[in-house]
Amino acid sequence: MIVSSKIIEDAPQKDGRRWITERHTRDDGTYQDVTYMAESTDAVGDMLLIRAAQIEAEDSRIANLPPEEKTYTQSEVLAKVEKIFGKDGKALFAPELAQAADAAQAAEIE
Amino acid sequence: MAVWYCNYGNGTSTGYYAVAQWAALTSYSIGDLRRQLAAPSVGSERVFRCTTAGTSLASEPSWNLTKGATTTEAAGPVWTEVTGNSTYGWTAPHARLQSAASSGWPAAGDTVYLSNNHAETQSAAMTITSVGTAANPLSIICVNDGATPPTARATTATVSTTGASTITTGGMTYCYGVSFSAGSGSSTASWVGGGSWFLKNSNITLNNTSASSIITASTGNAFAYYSNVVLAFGAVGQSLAINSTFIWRDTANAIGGTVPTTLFTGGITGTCFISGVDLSAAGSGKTLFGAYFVPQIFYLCNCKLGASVVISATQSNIGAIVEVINCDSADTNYRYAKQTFAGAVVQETTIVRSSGSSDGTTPISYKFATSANSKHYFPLYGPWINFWNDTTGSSITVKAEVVTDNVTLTDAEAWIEVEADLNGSFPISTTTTDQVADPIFGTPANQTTSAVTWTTTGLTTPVKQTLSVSITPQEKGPIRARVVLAKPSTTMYSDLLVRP
Repeated sequence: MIVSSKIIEDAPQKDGRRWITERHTRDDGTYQDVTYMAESTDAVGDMLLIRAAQIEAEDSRIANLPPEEKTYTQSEVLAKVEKIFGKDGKALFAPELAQAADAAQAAEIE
Repeated sequence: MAVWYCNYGNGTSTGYYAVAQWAALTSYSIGDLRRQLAAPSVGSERVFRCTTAGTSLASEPSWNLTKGATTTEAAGPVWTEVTGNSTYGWTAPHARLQSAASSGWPAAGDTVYLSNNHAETQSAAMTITSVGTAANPLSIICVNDGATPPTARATTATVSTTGASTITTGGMTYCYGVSFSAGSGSSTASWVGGGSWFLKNSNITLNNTSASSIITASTGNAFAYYSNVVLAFGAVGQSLAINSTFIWRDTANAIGGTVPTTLFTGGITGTCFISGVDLSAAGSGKTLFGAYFVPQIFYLCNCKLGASVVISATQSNIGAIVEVINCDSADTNYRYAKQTFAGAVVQETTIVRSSGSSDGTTPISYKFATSANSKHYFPLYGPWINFWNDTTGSSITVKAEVVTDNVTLTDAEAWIEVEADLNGSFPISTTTTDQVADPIFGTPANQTTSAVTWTTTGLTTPVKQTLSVSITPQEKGPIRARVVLAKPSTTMYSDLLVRP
């Protein structure tokens, strides 16, 4: 959920356009910066609110995807692999642990 | 190479459907062409030629649908399958492209002529797996059906599905003048570009409002090349994805229908080159390239953009690169943008070096803004700047002027890299840099303080420095240089004039 949206950069250019950077901060502290070149007549404040709604909608869509359709960051993938196979990966080689890993993976997908 | 004919017509009375249906207890002469009486299943539409005269039976025969096969009515006519055969041209065409292009009829390297009146549709998923190979692609050409053989190309053939019916392609294919449309209503129906299709003067439309529908231009080991191909969408949540190599060129008004909020998103991996494409329909509130969690590289050159569009989302994973060269909504020739895991580089026209780089009218610099991820082994690279060198055997100095707001950069944090032929034999370059020699254990030194003049509007405490290396080229030829910023979460401006 977006808890704060603000313009952190407004840099005019020679032709009157401006580099705008928005920062949209979520309730978990992460944020998303969005940079674009605004026309001199753009209502950048209105755009800020529209973008916040877009980001929130996209976050919600991703959060509601089934696990098999999600894309993950590298650290998220590593965390899942470690959760299933253990940090040392020994479950990959021990049959009884591999079965447990399969079950864990199935549960993850379900 | 053989040619084949395909014309669905209007689906009722023209094209394939203009062929008379077989009738019971009818006298047939050699050369008569007939199609089935009972409606065949999708893909089983055939035309048969009477090759032995006779009177048909009371019941329709069980047709042999294989190419060139015969069907015999006891003591009656014998029929030979001739669907799409060039001998009979438009009088015995295939009804459906998926049949005309697939194994069983054409061979690799053949051509399928698709009538300008072809308006094919079906309510089931469509898979067009052509028999083309890399060495011998299948050609699908929309033509004016006023002549046999055709003498003019056309662009009005349509191939569509309705409902939740995705269109999937396969095989190496050159396809000219066809408009594809997937789905209808709110059902999810996508385009899945398998195989390697070269689309020319064609269109792909997601004719449905499902946010889950997507145009996947290239998937698997495919290569997709679109020239003058408009991609149209039915909902803001739809998008365009690549899973391998995709080239999109020379297309006016390239985004049709409802413009997606984010044009490129999803996909697995791949490289995308776009040039001469008008993307201006995606303007304020839209994003061209979404955030990628996988290695994907996008190059966008010489394209028209929409005003106030976000070119790229922040790239949060190593390997995702978006580079945009000379693309703008205004009449400029210097706009640049690069977005990577390590940060972003864009053109800047206010904070510029006096008598520095310019397009002749507008002074230009590059603005580097590193993310927290920029490191000495994964820094933010500026674009390569190329120049011709005529000096051989003596030293030349290649340098870049930079300015920051109260950040004194060391040679571990910012440097210039120069690639030049320093060996005098093979065209293998040597990279020379003023980066600290050992970025792990070495002691960084501040880069040289500079006295050049900059316009520093908005900078509180400008710090001007010079990045510089000397090299001794052994041959005349091209040299290229780029500025590198490794210091995380830092903004720096660089002049583009690097040549001696």
